[in-house]
Order: sequence, then C-alpha cells, then structure tokens
Amino acid sequence: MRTKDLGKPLSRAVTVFFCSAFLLLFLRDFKWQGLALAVAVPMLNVLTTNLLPKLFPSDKLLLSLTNFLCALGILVLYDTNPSYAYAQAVYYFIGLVAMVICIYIIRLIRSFRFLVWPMMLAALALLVLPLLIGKETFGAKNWFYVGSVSVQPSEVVKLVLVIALARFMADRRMFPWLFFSAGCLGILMLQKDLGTALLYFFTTILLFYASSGNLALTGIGLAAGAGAAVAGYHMFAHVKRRVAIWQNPWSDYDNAGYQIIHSLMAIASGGLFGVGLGLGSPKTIPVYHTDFIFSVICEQFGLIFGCCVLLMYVALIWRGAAIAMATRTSFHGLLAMGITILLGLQTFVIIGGVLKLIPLTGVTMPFVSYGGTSLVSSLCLIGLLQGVASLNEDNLKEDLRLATME
Amino acid sequence: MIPAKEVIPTDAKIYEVLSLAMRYFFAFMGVLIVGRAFSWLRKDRRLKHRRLKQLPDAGTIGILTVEQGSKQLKPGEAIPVPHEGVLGYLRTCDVVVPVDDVANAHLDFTFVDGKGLFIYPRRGCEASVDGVALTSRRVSQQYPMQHGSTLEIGQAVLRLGVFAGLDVKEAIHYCEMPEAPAGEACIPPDAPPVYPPYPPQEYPPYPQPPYVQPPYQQGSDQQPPYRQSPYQPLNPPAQPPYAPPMNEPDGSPWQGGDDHAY
Repeated sequence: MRTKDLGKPLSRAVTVFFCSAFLLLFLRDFKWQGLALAVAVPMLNVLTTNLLPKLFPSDKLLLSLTNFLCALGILVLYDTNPSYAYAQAVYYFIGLVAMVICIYIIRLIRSFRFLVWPMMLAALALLVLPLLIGKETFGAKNWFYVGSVSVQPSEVVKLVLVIALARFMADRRMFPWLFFSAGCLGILMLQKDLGTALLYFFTTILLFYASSGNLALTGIGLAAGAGAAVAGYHMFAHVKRRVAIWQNPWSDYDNAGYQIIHSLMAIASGGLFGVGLGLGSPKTIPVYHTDFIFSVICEQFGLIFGCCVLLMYVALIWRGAAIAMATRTSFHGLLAMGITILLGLQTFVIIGGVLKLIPLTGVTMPFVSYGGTSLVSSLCLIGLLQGVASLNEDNLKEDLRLATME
Repeated sequence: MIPAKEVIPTDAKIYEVLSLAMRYFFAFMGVLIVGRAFSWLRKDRRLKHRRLKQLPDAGTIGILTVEQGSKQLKPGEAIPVPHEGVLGYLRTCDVVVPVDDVANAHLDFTFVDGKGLFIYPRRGCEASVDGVALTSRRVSQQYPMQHGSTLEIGQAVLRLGVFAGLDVKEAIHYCEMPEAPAGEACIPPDAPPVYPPYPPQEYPPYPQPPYVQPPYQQGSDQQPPYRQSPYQPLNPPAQPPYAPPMNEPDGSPWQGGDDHAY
C-alpha cells in the first residue's frame, strides 16, 4: 500500500520526461515514428509498472529503474540513428516478455539442482560456437549469425553462470562451479573477449566471497586473476594496445586513441547541461550506439544528467543487494547477489572505460546500449531478480499471517 | 557569412532554441527522477526495519535449545534456526555452537516444509539425530529432525523446536503447549485469559498512601512487620500469571512438549 503511493510520482516523472523528449525529437524531423515512440515508450513504462505487480508481487522500484534505463537507450538511439531505435524498441518488448517468463521460472523452479547440469553443458556449447562459425569484430571473436540476426552467446551464458554459481555455492560444492567458471573464462580468452572474461571472473570471485566470507581464498583468486591479466597483457597484442591507449590516448590520436578521445571530447563539450537534445554531433563518436552510448548521453543531456544516470544504476544495485539480503534460502540470496554484482560490474567496466578511468573493454552498458542479445539478457537477469523479490514478498506475507495467527 | 545565414531554415532555428531551453528541463527531470527513486529506497528501508521489529523471528523456522553445552553456550540457551545454512563452531556459521568437538563448519541443514530439518554432516564430522548416527546422505534423508528431536554433535546436545504454522507433523501440538518460546506467535490465543488478573492490581495502590504514612512516621525500624501485612494480599494474584513466562528462559521449554508429543 505504501509503495503504491511512492511509485506514482516516480512513474509520472518518467512519463513526462520521455513524452517531452520524444516530442522534442519529433519536432526536429516530423516523422510519424517519433510521435509513435513518444506514445509507445512511456505507455510501455506505465503498463509494465502497473500490470506486472498485479500478476505477482514484484519490486516496482526495480521495474521503474529498468524501464527508465531501457527507454533512455531507445531515446538516445532515436536521437542518433532512428533505425537502431526501432530495432531496440522491438528487443525491449521481447525482453519484457522474457523477463516475465524468468519471473515465472524462478517462482516455479525453486531449486535448479537437476536443471543446472544441462544448462551448464548447453552454455559451454553455446560459448564455443563463435569460435567455430563466428566473425571477428573489434579484435574479439564473440559473435555468430543466425540468418541475419547476430547473437552474442556470452550474454546468454551470463544467466547460466549466475544460476550455476548460486546453486553450487549454496550447496557448498566447490568443484562444479570452479570448473564451469574456469571453462567459460578459457573459452572467452580464446575468443579474445577480455571484457566479458573480466566480468565473469570478478563475478565469480565476489560471489565466492559473498557465499563463504573466506578472505584468504578470495585473495588467492584475485592474485591468480592478476597473474592471468599480466599473462594476457603479454600474450594479446590488442590488450597491450588498449592499455597503452588508456595511459596516453593522445600518442595515437587519429588511429588507436580516436575512440576514447572523441568520447572525452563529447563529454567535455556537453558541459553541465548538454548541447541540447538533437543538436551537437554525437555521431562523430566512433561506436556511439553500443560502447560509447554514455558519452552520447553526457553530450546531449549534460554532466548533471549523466550523474543522474549513474545514480540510477547505483539505486538498481542497492535494490538488488537489498533483495539479496532479504532472501530466505541461500540459493536465492546468492542468485540475487550474483545478478547485482554482474550488472554493477558491467556498468562500472564500460562507464569507467568511457571516462578513461580504466582501460576500455568492449562490454555493453546494461539496458541502454544498442544490442538485442544484451538487452534481452539484461532484462532476463532483472527478471530473475524480480522473481527472487516476489518470493521474498510471499515469505513476508506468510510471516505476517503467522504472526497474527490468521 | 550572409548566404550561410539564409541557408538555415527557420524551423531549425526554432528547434535549436527549443532544444537549448529544454535541456535545463531535462536536467531538472533527471534530478527529480533520481531523487524520487532514492526517497523510495529510503522509505522502503524504514518500512523494512519496522517490519523486522514486528517480526523478530521472520525467516527462522524454530529454535535449537541447548540441553548440554559448554561455558560459552549454557544449557537452556536458545539459538534461532534459519531455513538452511551451516552449523559449526565459527562465528560466520548460521548456527553457532561453540562447544568442544564441534568442527568449524560441522554440518549443513535444510528445512523442507512438511518434512522437517534435514541434517547433512560435513566430511569427517559426526552427528546423530535422536540417537541415529548420520553416516551417509541417504541416512540423513531418512531421518530428518522434527519437533522435539535431539541433535548430538561433539559434546553438545540440542533439541529442535519448530515454530507453529510450519507444516511439520508434530508442529500442531506446539501451540497448545503452555510454554512456547514462539510466544510471539502464540500470544493471541493464550493472552486473553492471562491478562484479566492484572487490572485488579491497580486498585490496591490507591488505598495504600493513607495506610503507608502512619507506619513510616511511627517507626522506620519496624519495617519487617509492616511489609508482611499489606503485601501479602497483593502477591498471590500477581504470581500465577507471571509464572509461565518466568520459566521460559530458565528451564528448557520442551519438557512440557515431551508430555504432549511423546
């Protein structure tokens, strides 16, 4: 009852924001698609935040945050390249359906004890596919094509990774998750997809610490990871190049450092309030639709809004951790924590890369970046988190019932 | 310069002005949305704290009462038991049993609704439920702990009490018992008959002041005879309602439970 009162002002503000932003873009080029998006995106927001909680007890704040970030992605893509935005809107819809399915899966299948084995095998098989039939992009071979649709299996495997880690760590069986995680990391190394490998590695380590509290083993794991990173630095030429660019992008400003320099210049030119939606030249940033979408946001909306987007992610992570803390079984707790860690790390890795805080690695910005697989899998992760939240809510209701003895 | 100005259509100029004006609005909306999200987070946190106060044993399925323990864990102490976790000597365990011969992480336990608390000893650790040594996973699954079961690990003997409402066979008897450390859950049915004796207590103090003053003035030395006479009528009604709760922390609550269940 209380949350309903709190939800309305937020969803009203989000609706006003997106309606006005899409209408402004409609005034720029007078295409009917702009008007359609101005109606459709806020409506999808309002519908999901109002309808889903009627199906099952779900976390409305989490839903609102996710919706805001997804809609922001569509908005920025429509601003820069409308054809991407239409595709992204379709993926957003598919992702929402997948999210609902994930919520039901978590509510129906309480322990993945037997299901986790076939899932792990399928995940490993899926990860190997790009090595066999894949195509190399940006120095990494992590894509393959089904017809004309490109699929990035490492995004899908994230789901399996989190579930498998949570399952085996809850059972306190070390070897299955260790081998699975190591296998995934090995294949990702072969694909030269180091950003995702970094993500998987830190998720595993942090979740291990969360489950066991064993500082010594966590330290050993981190040391091993550092060793592997040094080895990777010497083994892979493109890692060496990226670190060199990170240290001094200006040394090779029109070739290797081009991306990061344009990203930094875009953020700087945005200033506090941005250059104005639909103005400026966001398309000069190299991969503006995936990796560097945060610099486009900063250029168009300004630093203040950029900080707000970061704070939205912080709120999302906070909420995820709160859900994890409120769980009753260690499997669900670790699952929620793993998802939170994964999303938080991914956000940190890409935004840190864009801001030249850490070397740039090619991962997508969750929910915002263009990319069907990424958006759908991120929404699936949120679906799993929502499922855990709804189980928490059920448990709490049961407790209240017991406390008042019917 | 002049031709360039003519090339720019007026629509674009209007849009530019509009967009430049709107950016302040967007920044404001961003701050507003984030502020509302965080105030929601904060209020939810407060709500959670309030709920936790209301439901002190939310998430626990019952308690393990110590029958035989050590200096750190005295007999009669009650340890809340969550749905699942690890029992062991270390403070990081979900159920901490600092008793000799208990390993750092001694056993894993899982509660299954309607069946009981399943105990899975770790490798090299011994445990027995109601005298049955749990030697393998299969034995563990055959002998789950139920309400009133005893668990022997190392030199500790613990007795499980399952809260009412969890569908374990014997759980139904639990609420009928007079003690119930699950008192939080059991208060409503038991409370009404207990409280009526209290109001009469409030009346005697009013007549007291006139009676009290004369004895004090006459002789403060004569306290013993004075104390006995006015207090005696007060004490008998006060004690019986207090007695059951007073016994709770001292004696093990399951002594009564055995009579009912076994």
